[in-house]
Amino acid sequence: MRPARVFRWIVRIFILILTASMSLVSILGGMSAVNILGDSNNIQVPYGSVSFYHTGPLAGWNLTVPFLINNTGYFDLTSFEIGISIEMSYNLSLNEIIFNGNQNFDDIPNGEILVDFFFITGFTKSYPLTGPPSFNCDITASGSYSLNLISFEIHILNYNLI
Amino acid sequence: MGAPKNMIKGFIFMGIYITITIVIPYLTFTYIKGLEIEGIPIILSQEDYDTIIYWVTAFGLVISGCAFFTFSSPKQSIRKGSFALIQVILNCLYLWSYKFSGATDIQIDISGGGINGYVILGIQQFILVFMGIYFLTITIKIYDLVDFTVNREKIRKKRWGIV
Repeated sequence: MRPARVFRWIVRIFILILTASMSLVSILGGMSAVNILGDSNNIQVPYGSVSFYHTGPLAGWNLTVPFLINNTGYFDLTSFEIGISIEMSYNLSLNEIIFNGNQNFDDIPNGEILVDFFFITGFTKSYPLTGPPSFNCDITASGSYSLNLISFEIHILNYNLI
Repeated sequence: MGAPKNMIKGFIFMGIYITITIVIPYLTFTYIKGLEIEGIPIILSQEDYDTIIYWVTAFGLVISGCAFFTFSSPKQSIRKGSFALIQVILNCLYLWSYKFSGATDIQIDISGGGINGYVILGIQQFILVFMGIYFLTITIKIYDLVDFTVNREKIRKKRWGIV
């Protein structure tokens, strides 16, 4: 074999290993998506009911969003974060965002289940309420999968709390 | 290898490339389109789906055609080297087509069961890693082409059994 061909074979084997690894990651990533999304019990946000306590215009409030994620895929779920923005609607036409924040959670190794909850608390300032306010929230869940090569964001808009 | 055998090899590889670049992506995006989470159907808009499938099919066909010429050409020939290089560059464009067809940031709407929203899947990092591998492949293909051109006589003598 000519020396030029030996060099070529070395580089080709290296490229082959890289391509094979990436193809394997693609296939396992696709199979993970099928495993996780194929069963509706694997992602439950909220897991049970969302509890929101609010007693009056000057009182405190707290919100608990329980969730369950069953990572039945082949990779760890990393950088998992939930963000919530709560908007209060009052006096028929007025709206105000009373909370906007994120909470980070532990990585979920493959084959493991994370049951946790998003918990926030706060106080409303004084509002000249003429009637009971209503509360809506936007929920965002984001994370990375397949060795951080694939990212996802789930946005749930205008979820009615009260 | 004789011409008929080269032709058969070309058709086989064309079939493989059609499967990889058109059939598998088509089935994947069609699967995503009809997916349900917690019983809620997710909606990949028809327009997005059509755009993605259009670009994937367009580049897939060109790559598969090129694969036929690459694999049906004689071993270590300049023709093989040229088509192999064109094919790798087309593969890069194919991957890049995922970006400009919107497939690297797939937005899927969720609607039903009192829940409205959307899901975004980002595969840009994934595509970029593949582009890196293709860069190395392009380098080796250029190297091949130069090698086939410089050592043309030596390769021909070996091919025809001339000592």
